[in-house]
Amino acid sequence: MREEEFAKALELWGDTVFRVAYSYLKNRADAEDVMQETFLKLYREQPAFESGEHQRRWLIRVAVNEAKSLLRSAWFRRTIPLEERLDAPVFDRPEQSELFDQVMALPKQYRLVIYLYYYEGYQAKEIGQLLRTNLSTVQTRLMRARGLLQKSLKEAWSRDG
Amino acid sequence: MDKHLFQETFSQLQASEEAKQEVLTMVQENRKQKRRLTGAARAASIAAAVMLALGVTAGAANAATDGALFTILSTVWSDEVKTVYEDADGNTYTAYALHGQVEERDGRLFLVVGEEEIDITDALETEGSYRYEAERDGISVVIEVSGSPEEWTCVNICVADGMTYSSTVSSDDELYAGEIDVPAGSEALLVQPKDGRTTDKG
Repeated sequence: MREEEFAKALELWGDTVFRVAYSYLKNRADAEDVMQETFLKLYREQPAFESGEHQRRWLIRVAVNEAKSLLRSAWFRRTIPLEERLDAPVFDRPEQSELFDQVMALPKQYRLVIYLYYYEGYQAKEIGQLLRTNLSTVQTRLMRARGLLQKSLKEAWSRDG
Repeated sequence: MDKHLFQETFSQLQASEEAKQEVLTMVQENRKQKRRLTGAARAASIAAAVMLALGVTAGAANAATDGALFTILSTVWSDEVKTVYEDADGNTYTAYALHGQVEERDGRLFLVVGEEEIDITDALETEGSYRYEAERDGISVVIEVSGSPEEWTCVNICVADGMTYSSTVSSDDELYAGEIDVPAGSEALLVQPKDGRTTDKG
């Protein structure tokens, strides 16, 4: 893979890979590590892709695997309360900040499917293929995540007036 | 769920230009470098090579949640081979590098030990197990992965300084049952593995 092709892939999918990792790890430093590792794998392994979409899916799968590996091997974790997280974006509007916080408060398997569905635009069946999970499992997670979000966002918005 | 709001919100979550440039630089230099490590990522990276026995009860242990035991530790020594931690009461814990982890990639299963990556898919499919042995700087390790590429168990046994440490991880394990809040400014947390894995000091 030429450097120009690699740079183009990084420009196209770098943030996608980062967001997938962040939705799993909730931590900028770890998510950027996973992003870097994922693209280094792309450069080292140089798989043949049929299309840009094929490349995107490969990168997402690798990012998920890398994030899982990091979680499995990370016996140490430094955590800070959600409100003191300094690496989250600063949002223009309170509803954006509230949505972000509530999505990040979901269990990680729900965060990822919600992100892939609502941001990356994948259907449940495609998410199942990406995550090597049953369609019914994906549908259940989506349904539960939506339910949790509806409840938490409703509470948040009524609290904020 | 407002899809537009979701996309507006999450489009603002982006990797730093610094992180992207680092990858480009690594590729341009065409050599493998260590991952950039900061803060919690550095602690996690050390932990990736750690086997730590938790048979000692720390005087500063606190906040037991769902059977997990938490101790606040500070790093007092770290090199390539081992890392020594100390708790508030002066108890020390030593973590040894040379640890295997199992990774799934595109339908294949790999055992990763340090820089070494071994495709163990065929071994698990045909024989139901794969055994790895190594010794380095006075530390010896035996890693046994058994089961199938879909459902496996990995047992790490490390012998160092006259002590034997073991840990078990399976494909179904979740490291944490949930998030744990700690006061801001806390040192690195040592988290006892949850049910489904065991850590014994022999």
